[in-house]
Amino acid sequence: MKLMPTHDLTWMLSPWLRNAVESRYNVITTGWLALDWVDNLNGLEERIRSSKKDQYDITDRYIIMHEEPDYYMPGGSCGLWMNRLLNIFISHDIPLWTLILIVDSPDQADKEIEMIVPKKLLETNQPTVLSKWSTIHYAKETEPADVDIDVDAIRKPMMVMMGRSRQSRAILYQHINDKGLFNSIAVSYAGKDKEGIFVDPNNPT
Amino acid sequence: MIPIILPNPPMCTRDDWNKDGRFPVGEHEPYRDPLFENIPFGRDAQEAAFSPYNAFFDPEYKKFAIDIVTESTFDFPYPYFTEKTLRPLASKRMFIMIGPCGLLARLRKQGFRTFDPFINESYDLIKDPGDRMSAVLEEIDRLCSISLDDVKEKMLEYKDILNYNQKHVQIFKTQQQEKDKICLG
Repeated sequence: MKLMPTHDLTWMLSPWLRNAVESRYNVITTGWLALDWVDNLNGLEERIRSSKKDQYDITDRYIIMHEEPDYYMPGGSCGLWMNRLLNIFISHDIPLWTLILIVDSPDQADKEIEMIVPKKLLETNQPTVLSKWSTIHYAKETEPADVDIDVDAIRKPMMVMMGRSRQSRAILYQHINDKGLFNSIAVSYAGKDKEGIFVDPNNPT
Repeated sequence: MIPIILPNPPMCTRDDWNKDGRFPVGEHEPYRDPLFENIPFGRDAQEAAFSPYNAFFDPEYKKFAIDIVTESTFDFPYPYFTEKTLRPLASKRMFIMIGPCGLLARLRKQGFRTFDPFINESYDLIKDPGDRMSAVLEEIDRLCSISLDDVKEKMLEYKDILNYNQKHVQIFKTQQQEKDKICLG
């Protein structure tokens, strides 16, 4: 288990969004959908179910970060996690307008919501979908450094930074290794899917 | 309508596309090039260090001209990208994508510019993941055969695009924030 203070808005949201949320809404609970972090879907369902209210105030919200790419059946166009998450709300009779969902691809999420939620229900009951790009904690509000392109500083033509183990990354590493391309490509590869140590980007020490 | 509740997704990899073993892969120990010596090493630490908005990535990142971006997914039903793709865009670097089909097309649709013809980007529209991987590896091999001086020269040639992409990241982010503000009401 990583040392990750999940369910804390400070971690989930960038400062502007946190301010926007906290000034407008009463956050009932938060969730973080990710492969090996704290929230599995059963745990999340239990937390949502146990925090269910008899009557919702207009400012009540659940905030769920959909951290990972979803799973799709072969040929399927609707994510399994998305399906399960929305159906947790529907099956427990919790209004979907209370849900703020943060995803990597808002357009795709909107499409999937339309596929999963019956049209009649969605007309008055739309969840709010926000972009992870601009909302996640590490997307700081500073602009990237506008440095000049300094070709003299370039030491190798290419680099590849591979973190969590994926088959596509393992194939690339194997290829670089087999062909002896380390002189042209600077490689950082975490290798076997060992537990990493999370470093707070705001406080790397 | 009775909702269909699916079980938790199976905890399998997303990489079944290589189950015929076309690309044999073994398990590898962690490896790090000495040029990365000043960044923390770890599965997530390195990603955080090279996050596009992180203050301490820049001195290290400028040692390279082309970023081979290994996105979170490879065989995926739509072009999905994350902050990893933002990294070269925000930092004035050229890039090759190891990611889903149509990723570069999506970036271009969103206003970013890419590096054809210096980088052969025909791999982007190959639907079959195995064929797409072969094409990307072939292109990486070709780029490796180019001298460092020639790559530097190309980088200067593409300077306008690199500057444009960095500015466009900010525009794109601002647009996204505006949209989010409207959604929040």
